[in-house]
Amino acid sequence: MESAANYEYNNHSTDNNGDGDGAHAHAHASSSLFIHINGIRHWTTCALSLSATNTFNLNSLTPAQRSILLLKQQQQQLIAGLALLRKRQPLGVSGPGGAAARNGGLGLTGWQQLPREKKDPFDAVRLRPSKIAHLYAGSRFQGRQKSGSNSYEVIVDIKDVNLKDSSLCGYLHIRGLTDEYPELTTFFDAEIIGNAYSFVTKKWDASSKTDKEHWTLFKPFEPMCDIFTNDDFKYDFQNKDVIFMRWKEHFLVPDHRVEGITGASFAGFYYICYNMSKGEIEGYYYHQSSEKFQKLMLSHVQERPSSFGSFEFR
Amino acid sequence: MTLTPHEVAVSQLATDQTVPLDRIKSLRFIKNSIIGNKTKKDLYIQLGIVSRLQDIISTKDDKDSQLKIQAVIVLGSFAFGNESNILALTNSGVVEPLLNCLNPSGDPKLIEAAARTLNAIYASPKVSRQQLFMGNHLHVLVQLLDTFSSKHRPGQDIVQVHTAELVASILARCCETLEQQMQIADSGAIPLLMRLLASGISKSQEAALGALAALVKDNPELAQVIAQMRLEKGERPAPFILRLVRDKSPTMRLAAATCLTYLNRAGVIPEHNSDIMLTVLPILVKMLQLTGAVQETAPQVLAHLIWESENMQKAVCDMEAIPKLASIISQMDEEDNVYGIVGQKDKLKENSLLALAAISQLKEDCRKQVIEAKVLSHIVSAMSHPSVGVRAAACQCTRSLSRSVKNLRTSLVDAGIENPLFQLLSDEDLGVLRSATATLCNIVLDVSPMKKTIMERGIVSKFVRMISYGDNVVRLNTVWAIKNLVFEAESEVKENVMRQFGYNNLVLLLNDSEPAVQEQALNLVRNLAHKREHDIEQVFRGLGNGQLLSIIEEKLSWDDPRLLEHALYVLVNIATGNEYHKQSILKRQGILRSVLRSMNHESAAIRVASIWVIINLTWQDDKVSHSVHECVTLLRSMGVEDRLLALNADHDLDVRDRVKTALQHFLMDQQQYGHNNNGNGVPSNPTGTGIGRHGHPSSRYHDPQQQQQQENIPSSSSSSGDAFGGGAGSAMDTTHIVTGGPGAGGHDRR
Repeated sequence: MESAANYEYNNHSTDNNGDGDGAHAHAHASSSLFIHINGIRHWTTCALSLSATNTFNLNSLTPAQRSILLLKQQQQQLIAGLALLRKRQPLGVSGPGGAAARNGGLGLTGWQQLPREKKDPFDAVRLRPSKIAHLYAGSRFQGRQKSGSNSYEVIVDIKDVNLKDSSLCGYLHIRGLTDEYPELTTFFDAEIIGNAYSFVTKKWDASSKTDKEHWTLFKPFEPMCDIFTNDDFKYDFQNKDVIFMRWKEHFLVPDHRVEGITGASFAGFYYICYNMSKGEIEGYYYHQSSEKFQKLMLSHVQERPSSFGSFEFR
Repeated sequence: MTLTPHEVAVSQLATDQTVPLDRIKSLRFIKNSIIGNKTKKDLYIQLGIVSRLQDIISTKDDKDSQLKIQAVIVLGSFAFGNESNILALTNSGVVEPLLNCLNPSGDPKLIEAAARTLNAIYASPKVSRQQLFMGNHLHVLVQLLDTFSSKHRPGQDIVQVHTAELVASILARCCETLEQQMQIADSGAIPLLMRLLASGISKSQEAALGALAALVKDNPELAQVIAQMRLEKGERPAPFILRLVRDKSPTMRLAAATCLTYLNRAGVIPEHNSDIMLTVLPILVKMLQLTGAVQETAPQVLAHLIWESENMQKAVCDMEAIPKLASIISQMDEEDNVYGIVGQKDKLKENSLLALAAISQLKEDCRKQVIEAKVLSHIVSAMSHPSVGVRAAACQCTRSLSRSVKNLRTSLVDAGIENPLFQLLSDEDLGVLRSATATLCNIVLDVSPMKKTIMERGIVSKFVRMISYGDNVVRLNTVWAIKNLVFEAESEVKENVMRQFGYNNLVLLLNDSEPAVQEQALNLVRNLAHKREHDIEQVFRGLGNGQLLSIIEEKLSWDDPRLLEHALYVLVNIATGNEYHKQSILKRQGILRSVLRSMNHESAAIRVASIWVIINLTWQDDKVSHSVHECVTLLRSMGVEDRLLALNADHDLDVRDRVKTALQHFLMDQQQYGHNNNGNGVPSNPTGTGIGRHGHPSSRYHDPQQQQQQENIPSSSSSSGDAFGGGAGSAMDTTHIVTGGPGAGGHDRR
């Protein structure tokens, strides 16, 4: 957010280049053993299972070999069938009449009349909250934003961190920006530079020149200065001491419907550099028609001893 | 008075009065009058035709099958597409005689007609499937799939093929339970269905796909069996079905896509992941623009396929599925408004909503697209839809969309979801209740402006009723919602919630039979004890201080990572309290041992949590107080400091940073109180009974890393990613852990 005479609200959209690694399915293709589900009782289907099992030519075998093979296959089917029977027997509660009797009382009909377990598709992939050093829901940073000769008090509250989605979001409170609103709060979200988001912004009116002149203001960026525009360059923020981000404000808190505040604007965005071991955030605000290099300096508010709550989206 | 021709026709059906030929004539007359005429169908049913027809098909006389065939066809006509008629038929018991008509020695045309009528009857999910699985019926039915059987008669091929298709369709409709799926598999149907699949006859293939799909749905065991089978040319079913996905007929494409979807969800065809992404997904998305049954079912299959997969959800999003689904839903609402026909396309609406819920399940980008498609108001009004399925699906949608701070603060407030949601919390349908309570978990977060309004409506008083509802999912969702509600909440809110909910209920949940519920209950304790000394005191009072710590001690001993992390953070939070709170932790040897053990846990998050316990317990202002000194001495005697030194070389940065802070506390203590008399820097317990590791050089603070290398502790190797595996950890435990007795905890600390 910045102080401005003219204000505009651009609801720029975030880029659609998020990338997930939604590993799907728990695959276990094991043996290619032909399991005939009902090998015991339905010999009519044997011919099919034979033709199905054999990938080599039966005719090339001697009659003796053939009959041994046949026996083996039948045995396999029998074992498979028995295995299925055994497997299900403990579940067996006697079913409704006839079928159980027909199956030799083995309790094949034993499943209780439960509908198939309808699994909640939300259970397998939970949105566990991420926590990395000072970036976690409930964390607070405090500091100032310098704009020319003015300096404003700023507090940032982190509300949600989703490292898998390379994103976080929170509230940015700023004091004394305008007379009408002595304290202003905006909602912002962050693109964490990494697999999903590149250093190259390609939106919000930022050119690659803009990117370069801002990113290079951060000392840790130096080694990447010449390569950050390369298509194949990816910054891996995992286990690095420095995390780079872009913060984009979207609307006012508490009332998101308020449009336009005289003397303030948040149409631009921040280039952000978070130093993990120091717990410090440095940032520069950029908007085409704003004063350049307005600087944000924040440090983590450490309550010692520290207490941590936790929430999770369902 | 005279009879209408319809009454005459019905009366002529009576067995004993009329010659068979007249009865056949009457049946034909009836058949022709009722085709597509709902009023006539109702009229005939009122005239009691069903029992007449039932008599006809129940006779043992097989000489003239024509009469039976006509009767069966008329029954089919009644059943077709009308659920109340179907129930009228089944209530008068036509299923059993119809099943008897399948007798393989009978007229193939009768068999076909009976199969067709049964198929129409089983179209209704309300009809019991039980009779099919009794006696010999299933066995007889499955044999009819065998179109190459010895009873093959020339000229009957078509009839046999049709019969096989109808039987496959019946089987597909009778896979509602695991038991049914397994019984059908046990009856030998699968190889016959495989043969039908490879028959090359389109309709047969579709029918086979339908049955196979129903058999593998939510049934990994059968899915595995089917995926591993081979067709007659040695090919596996999956690649064969993949070719059918590209068939020119939309119904075939849908059937094939459905079957692959269920196989994929069962995880049995991982080798086809990319085929599914590149072929099946786009085909399903394109189907959204078709009409009729294909359009109606496609979104449901799509939803089923993409749940849980971020990549697929994103891919579908990129294929512009969201605007398509949005326009289906909003168009339907407009039509409803114009013509007042509600309920005609409920299934399409339900399925489209489900697809939207699935697409926006995991990715914020996709949620954003749903919001931008301006469909939210339709979703919200669907939450009050008369159809249970639509309500549940709409609620799943809001659940997906509410997994976002941004949406909670903006679009969901604007759309006014809290009113309909609150209504759904009293819904009589379990599915609706489940998804409503799940959505509630997100709505009551501190970032949601709806939290306040929904609390004012008395949500807290509903919680007790919801946990005693008797459903595991509802109970889990409820404790989850309470946990989210008290996250970062004011003390008054926490107290208000717990006053109404009751600590006795919390204890029950902490000892719940479901570990997932326990996890949430522990998280709730963590949030209750968060932030203020007053809040910690409330939890101590509510649970009783002995009980609170006993519960934590027990959960820590389970060594379940889910429970472990929250249990540790309960300690972290308690340790921010007053002296009494800290002492209650320090008095528990078992807890301290678990904390020490957790410092070597393979999960970095758990190592961090355990180090935070140490940091908070040993925290001090400028001057180390006597009680903190005693605490440091105790922890030192247990080997905590050694463990911290070893963790100095942890591969996780966060762990290393926390270790620095913790060691700083030990250093401050040492600077103020010296080396505890034994001169070699090894801490010992004032009573001299603590078991420390003796013989360390005193330079450990200055070069802990070197120290650690000298010790050659395997678990702290910085090069290995999984250096904190169980083996190394337990080896250390035996070296370091105080094994109880009159050790550190036994001395007088006042």
